[in-house]
Amino acid sequence: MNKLPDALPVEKAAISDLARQTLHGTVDEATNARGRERMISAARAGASKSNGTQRRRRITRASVLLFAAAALAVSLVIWWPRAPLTFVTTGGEVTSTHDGGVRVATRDAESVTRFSDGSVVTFGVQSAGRLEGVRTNGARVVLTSGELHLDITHRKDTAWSIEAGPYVVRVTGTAFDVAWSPSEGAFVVAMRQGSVVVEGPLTPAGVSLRAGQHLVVARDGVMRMGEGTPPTLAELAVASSDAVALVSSAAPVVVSRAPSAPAEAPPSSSVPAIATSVAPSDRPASFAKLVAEGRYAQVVTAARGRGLEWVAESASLEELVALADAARYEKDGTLARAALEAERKRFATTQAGRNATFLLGRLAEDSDGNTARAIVLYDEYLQTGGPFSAEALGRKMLAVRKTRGDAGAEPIARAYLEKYPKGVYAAAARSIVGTP
Amino acid sequence: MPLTVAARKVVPVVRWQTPAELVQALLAAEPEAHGVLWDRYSTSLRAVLRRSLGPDTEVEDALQEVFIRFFRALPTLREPAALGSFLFGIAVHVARGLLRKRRIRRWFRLTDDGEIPEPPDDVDPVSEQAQAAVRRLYVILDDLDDESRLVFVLRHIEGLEITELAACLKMSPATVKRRLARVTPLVFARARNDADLASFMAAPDQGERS
Repeated sequence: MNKLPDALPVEKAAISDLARQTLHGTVDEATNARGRERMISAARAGASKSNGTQRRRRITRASVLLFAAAALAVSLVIWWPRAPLTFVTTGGEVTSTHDGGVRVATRDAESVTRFSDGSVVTFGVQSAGRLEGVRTNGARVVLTSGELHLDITHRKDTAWSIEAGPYVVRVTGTAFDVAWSPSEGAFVVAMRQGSVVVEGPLTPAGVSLRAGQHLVVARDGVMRMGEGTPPTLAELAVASSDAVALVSSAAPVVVSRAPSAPAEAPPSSSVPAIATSVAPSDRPASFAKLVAEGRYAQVVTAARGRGLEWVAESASLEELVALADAARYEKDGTLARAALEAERKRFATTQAGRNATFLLGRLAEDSDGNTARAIVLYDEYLQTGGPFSAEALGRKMLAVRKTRGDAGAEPIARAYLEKYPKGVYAAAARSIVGTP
Repeated sequence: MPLTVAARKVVPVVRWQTPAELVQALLAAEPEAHGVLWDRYSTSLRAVLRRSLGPDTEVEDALQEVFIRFFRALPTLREPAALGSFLFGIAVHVARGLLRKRRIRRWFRLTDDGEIPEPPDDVDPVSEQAQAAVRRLYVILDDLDDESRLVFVLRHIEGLEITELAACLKMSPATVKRRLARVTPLVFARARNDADLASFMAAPDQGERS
């Protein structure tokens, strides 16, 4: 017997012996007989049972492996990085861009681009634009001028962006037409199927359009939403907003006006003021609805009644967006600034929150004359980007020119020309750079 | 190895006297071989299980599990002569598994069967004090980790040699010695301080020792 490393005291043997004697292995006759029979039965059934058990184990193991393989295959299908969409363009003058896209220009015939997901983008006659940033789930289509017809195949993560001047149409799968005249500032979106969200200077938070609806911005800067057949660019080029309403086969459902050409606010006496007793649940819809109807003064009055603290702390995003628009159109800089700051602070991750940064820059520049502050805000907005990127860069260029002269603004002007050679600030950029 | 042939035989079989012969009979599916196996080894194996698991543990199911595992492993038995050691190793393995399950149940505050155990009704009044002392010993052992508990039981109660213990628990002899050096003074120190155990620790009855 091996010796333990430590000598065991004598008394240890006593309890050990006691346990050995107490915990013996004998049981009464009946218990032993039951155990014996049970064991013998198990042993006799053992071979087949054992084989069955092994077979079951093999089947279970195979099932687990099969399941794991299937799960892996599904995971690969789901997570395997998809290749970007491919496309073929026929018709028109097509030139490649450095990022894999194409520039398209048409004269007397359309240009049709068919994508691998089934989406079709058609540039109408006398149109020009670009297909850029083609991804796995969409692309960026820029309509420089003319008309665009789109049939976007809907998928779970479809994300197309259609840009026309300052307007951006967000698409998840639909069929619609876009027309844009940069010289007239006229813009049309006409829905055939599905729905889109249109973002622009009048609607930074976006306006939803459903099948059958259209949105029109006439040359006088008035935006209308209507149903039925939309006016053409040619009609818009000669028509005022009032005429547009007549051209359109259905009555407009929304009227708004660009800030650069503010609509006349209806006399406050002609419409009932928003009572402070309006139910809170009605307020968000009321604000947006009133802004859409051009009743900016009423929105401002109601918000003033609630107080700036309510604006800063309690107003919803929808209320803030509507209020910021209304206050800007009413030239209530304090209220507009409060609403935009609240958007920026409390809804920083939303596009509306980011847009608020740009709009605050405009306020700082236009209302306050604080160019330095405006530059900072434009810069901040440009870091994340959005539908006002072109305007933010152009405004920053002019603001820097104001504070630091042409030499200071030249790098920004060059960047602008590279990115937006036909943008609305292109002429100013060329004058800064010194090229015709 | 302390396994011995059980004194009582249900069926008087004189064949397969050696372990190797019995293994051959089992492999040949001789009708009476299973009964012989039970008669020779069940008592010792039951004792090992009871000593490993403690006095209040029902071990009949565990004993069946030992034999089931044995029949499953029988075709791979390399040394038929070491049948007793083979069965003993399986019993220790089964006990270790049950201790682990019991510990997990204890974490979740469950008893083995989810019921609060009742003390057995058939307590022999004569040995009641001795049984109380053994229960106290196993209360102390319950505080040990499973390996240390088995090392202590197999060494001090079963009486295994260090090398046998090492082989059974798949440890090196040095590891077994280290464990014993740590756990032995710990258990006996607590036993000496226990009111129920103290008398058995202080005055061993040499006459009861085997």
